[in-house]
Amino acid sequence: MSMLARVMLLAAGLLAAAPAYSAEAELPPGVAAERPSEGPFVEHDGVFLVPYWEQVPGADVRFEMIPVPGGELLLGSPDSEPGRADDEGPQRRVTLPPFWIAAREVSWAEYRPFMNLCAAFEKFNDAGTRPVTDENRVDAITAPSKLYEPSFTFAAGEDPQLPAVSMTQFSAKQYSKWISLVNERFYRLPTEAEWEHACRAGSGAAYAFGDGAEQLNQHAWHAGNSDEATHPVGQKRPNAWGLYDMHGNACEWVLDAYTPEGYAALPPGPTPSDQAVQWPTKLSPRTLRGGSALLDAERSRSAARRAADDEELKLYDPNTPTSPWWYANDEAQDIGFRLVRPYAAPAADGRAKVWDADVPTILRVANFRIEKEGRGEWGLADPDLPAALEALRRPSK
Amino acid sequence: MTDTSHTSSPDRRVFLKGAAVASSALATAAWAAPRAVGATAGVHTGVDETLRIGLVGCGGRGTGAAVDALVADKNSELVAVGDTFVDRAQDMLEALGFEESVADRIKVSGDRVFSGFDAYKQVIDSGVDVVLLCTPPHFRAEQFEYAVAQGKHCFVEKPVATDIPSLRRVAAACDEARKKKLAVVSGLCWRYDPGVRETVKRLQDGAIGDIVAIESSYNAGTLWRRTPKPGAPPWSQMEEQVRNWLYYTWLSGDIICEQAIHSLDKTAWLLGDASPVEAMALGGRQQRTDPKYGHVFDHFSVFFTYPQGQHVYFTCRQQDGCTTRVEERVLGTKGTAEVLAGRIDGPSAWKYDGPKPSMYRVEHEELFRSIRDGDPIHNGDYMINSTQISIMGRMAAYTGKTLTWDQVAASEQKLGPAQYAWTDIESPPVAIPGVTKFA
Repeated sequence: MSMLARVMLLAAGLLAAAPAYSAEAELPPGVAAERPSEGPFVEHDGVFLVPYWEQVPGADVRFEMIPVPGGELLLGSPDSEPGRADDEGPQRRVTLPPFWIAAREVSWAEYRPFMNLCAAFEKFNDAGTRPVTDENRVDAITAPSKLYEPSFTFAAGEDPQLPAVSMTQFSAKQYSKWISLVNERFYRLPTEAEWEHACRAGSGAAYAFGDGAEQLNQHAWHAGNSDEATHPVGQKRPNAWGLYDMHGNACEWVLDAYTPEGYAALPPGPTPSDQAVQWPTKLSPRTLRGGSALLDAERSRSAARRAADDEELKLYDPNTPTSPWWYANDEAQDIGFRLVRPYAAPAADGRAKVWDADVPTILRVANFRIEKEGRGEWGLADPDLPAALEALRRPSK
Repeated sequence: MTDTSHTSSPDRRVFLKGAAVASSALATAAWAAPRAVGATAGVHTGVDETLRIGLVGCGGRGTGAAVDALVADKNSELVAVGDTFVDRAQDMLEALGFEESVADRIKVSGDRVFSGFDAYKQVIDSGVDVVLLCTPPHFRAEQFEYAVAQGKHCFVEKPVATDIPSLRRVAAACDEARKKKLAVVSGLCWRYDPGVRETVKRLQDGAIGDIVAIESSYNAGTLWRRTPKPGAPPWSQMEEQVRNWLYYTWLSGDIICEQAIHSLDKTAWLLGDASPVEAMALGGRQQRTDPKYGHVFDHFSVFFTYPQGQHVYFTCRQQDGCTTRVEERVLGTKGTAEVLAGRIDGPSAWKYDGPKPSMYRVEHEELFRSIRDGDPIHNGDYMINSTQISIMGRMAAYTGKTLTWDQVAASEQKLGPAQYAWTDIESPPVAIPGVTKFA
């Protein structure tokens, strides 16, 4: 099985280099050879990108991925936009290939199986099975530590359809690595440009539905209508491309560093989207997009950015070093994410950057918590994982 | 200074009287221990003087407390650390390396890193002004006693004891600390959370009329467990227990004392820091049954009756896959409230909307300010009362018997091995209600 998996992975890598699918080959989920007779699709590269549902590994839960057309994005907002902040410009032209993005924010139903990995990895380690070694660590993830005090994280309740919140960006990245390696399809957090492109759905206005905030209540949970709590994902109207909660509910992690000077460092463009990422070089600040149930309506605008300061968000963490996976601060009760799948997955050496710790301190702290404190756990993410988890669940003699 | 850290209520005096009667013999014995070298130790005024901090117990919480202290008082330095295990003390210094903002005030030279069961004495004797007591609770009484005897201001993590004889020693040391004007700040941190403070104050001022009952929960998931490094020699049973102290009642007091005391403390606070008259309890161990999890329960349910007829309906749980809830729902004659949410419902509806600084930082800020102001905070009363409440709940659940406060206060059960050595001590049996005897 694992040999086969490796061959398949290799095949996927080759496809990435030459994404055209031959007519005979079995097409991956989300790709159709024929023009669909109904529903949204994106024609690209001789095939049709269509919506599909992805399985959450080892759980009876799926999430919907929606194709987004490529094109040119005018990133950021114009000076004239009411409520605009200085960090939303100068506007830059970015060209994007098509990709899929999750229709909804990651819910607790989807995130819980990831949280449960900590206990499962502990059992593997106790039994000496599926060991993480220096050789296979590239395919390992850190499972988040168990919550000591759940009341911050679950302030809005524990409805499985609520957006998962209060995770660090590192934890969200590890989640995307987990799904990718188990399901053998490449997922990651969106870049800031991808996120804004998906949010705007072709609109240059302040919101995807126009400039006025009158319709906002129909599209978004924000401080003015949320009763100060996140709500189950997908309850409000989707945007033109079928995406829910882009303007509110939970803020969403993207890959980019937060830059108070906005996009000044990017060329005017048009710049290909993979060169229009402001990669983090330090732990803080990083970028959250998309407004939230706890933020005012004007911060729900398509171009609005929120700076996430790691130290500030960990202020309520009573331990040192603080958790690399969880924020224990009220300010994190609206921090969530959703995943994207690019049409062409990067080669293996381009994946660590979007999946793993990108500054040394994150990994040092994670290893300290795992090795010295017994909080959190390393484990392998591969296609065999769901079967190994199932074996754990079976009662043994 | 806030009224919450200084108020004294009639009910609390009742408790203290009871404790003093019960503890007099032991307290006398305890106070044969060495006295402070300098009788005026502990007097600090002004902001110029550097306050030297010693940390006893180098786990994640101890390390966090050290950072909180250093952040709280810019003119403080960490000068000595101690832990039973030398690796933990070294790890702690490594962990502090992650905290760039306080790095220049970590002045722990190699000869001030102490290990062993007596490490606390060496830390306290290192010329420190303030001691942070953050070991597993079993060791707290002996360490606190010594710190007070040596005239040190103390930050005392919760709970302060796992059995009643030790709690009497803490009570006696608190009396001494008060006489010596030494600060005693408790790690029952919600007392320092601005939102919880404001909510409790409003409830005590009658925002929902008279409090009739409190529904109190600390229902959470499972926690960490440590194992030897791969390839390292196995631990002795004693080492296994001390390193995984959560799972042994003599060390942690069980989950109701170790963790859920936060909730019990809030219920007592809401009721004027009274002591419950009696407790009826259920509890057991359903999910975490593997012997590697020691012998503690994984759930408790306790009904406490308070002197003026109020009831506290309390649950705590450490089980995975279950709904979590940590909150006190207060039921009054004119409304209800949720304390952590900072919300009051009813005719006086209100929602806390003020600042939310970290309570861990606030407690250290107030500790150090009180020392510098020459008016040291003394949280001894409630930290003792709340510890006894949590022990009471445990004892009622372990025995399956409804217990009175006075019965519990008279307990002579002393938990833990007769001496501390790295041997293969046994894991105590899991308590069985109806079979396990009250002692």
